[in-house]
Amino acid sequence: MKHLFVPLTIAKLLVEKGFNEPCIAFYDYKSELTIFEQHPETNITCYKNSEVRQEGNVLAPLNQQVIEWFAKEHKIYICIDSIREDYFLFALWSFTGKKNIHDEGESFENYNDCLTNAIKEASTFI
Amino acid sequence: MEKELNYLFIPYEQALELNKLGFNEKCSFYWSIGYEDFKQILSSEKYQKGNSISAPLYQQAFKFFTDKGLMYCINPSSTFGKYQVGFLGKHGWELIKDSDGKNLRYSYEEAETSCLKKLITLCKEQQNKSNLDLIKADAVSMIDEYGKETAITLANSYIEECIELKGDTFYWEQLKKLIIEYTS
Repeated sequence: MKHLFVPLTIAKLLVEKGFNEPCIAFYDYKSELTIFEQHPETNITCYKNSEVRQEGNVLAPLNQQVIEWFAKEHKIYICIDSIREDYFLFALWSFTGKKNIHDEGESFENYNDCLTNAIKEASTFI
Repeated sequence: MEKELNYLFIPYEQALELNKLGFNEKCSFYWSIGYEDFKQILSSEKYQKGNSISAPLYQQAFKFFTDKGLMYCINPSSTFGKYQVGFLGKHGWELIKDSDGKNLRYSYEEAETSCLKKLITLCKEQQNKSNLDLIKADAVSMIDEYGKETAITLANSYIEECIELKGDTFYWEQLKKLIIEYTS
């Protein structure tokens, strides 16, 4: 299920940029992804970066969480387009200026590489 | 501790639909069938009982459809903070419209749900079409092998058998219809 979460480098970058949404998984000091154990008696178990106490642990946001975080917190919408399963492009839209701040350029062979690059680019605007 | 992360997961009704459509990806969470109204709807694999279905994340559900060749987009509209939903069809990208033909605009959450519902509909249509293609091929093959009369007799006998066993007669009804159509 690792592909559902942003890579560690992006997770660290997001911490620097102030990402503090609750997450259901984290990267430990060995860079391994672990999903928090869940309990049916409560609801979903998750933590925020501000609640992580163990040094070296970084919360692992889901791809969809990051897209929503940029849209809601920074009014930047990451748009991933695809017309084939091995051809992905990204564009960035700013809601504040109602403008396209990064037009589709380089293409990527898979969704995750495309999204990773989109997040890096979007991070330069905040 | 923040516990409200349910918005990351597709609604129960759509999870049931995905299950029927063949979604079979690994999930960390599950819905107990029939308990969708309870707050404690999601449990870990550890606690999973037999009577449950997987609870896909939106991103997992969308990937399920793109893997089937159903392309979609959720793009910002010219209206501040609103989104439009589109699908790649025979004539290029087509946005979801209202009854007056105007493009619908949604909040992000609404756009995700509308997109998902439409993808489920498109996927069902795709499956029905591919089922029909298979039945067409079977009809041609039966005509070649048995000839019109025997093929119809065989189809009739299977229809009766299905009725007797309280099974679904759709396949044989369609097959019989196509045999008659192709040989008339």
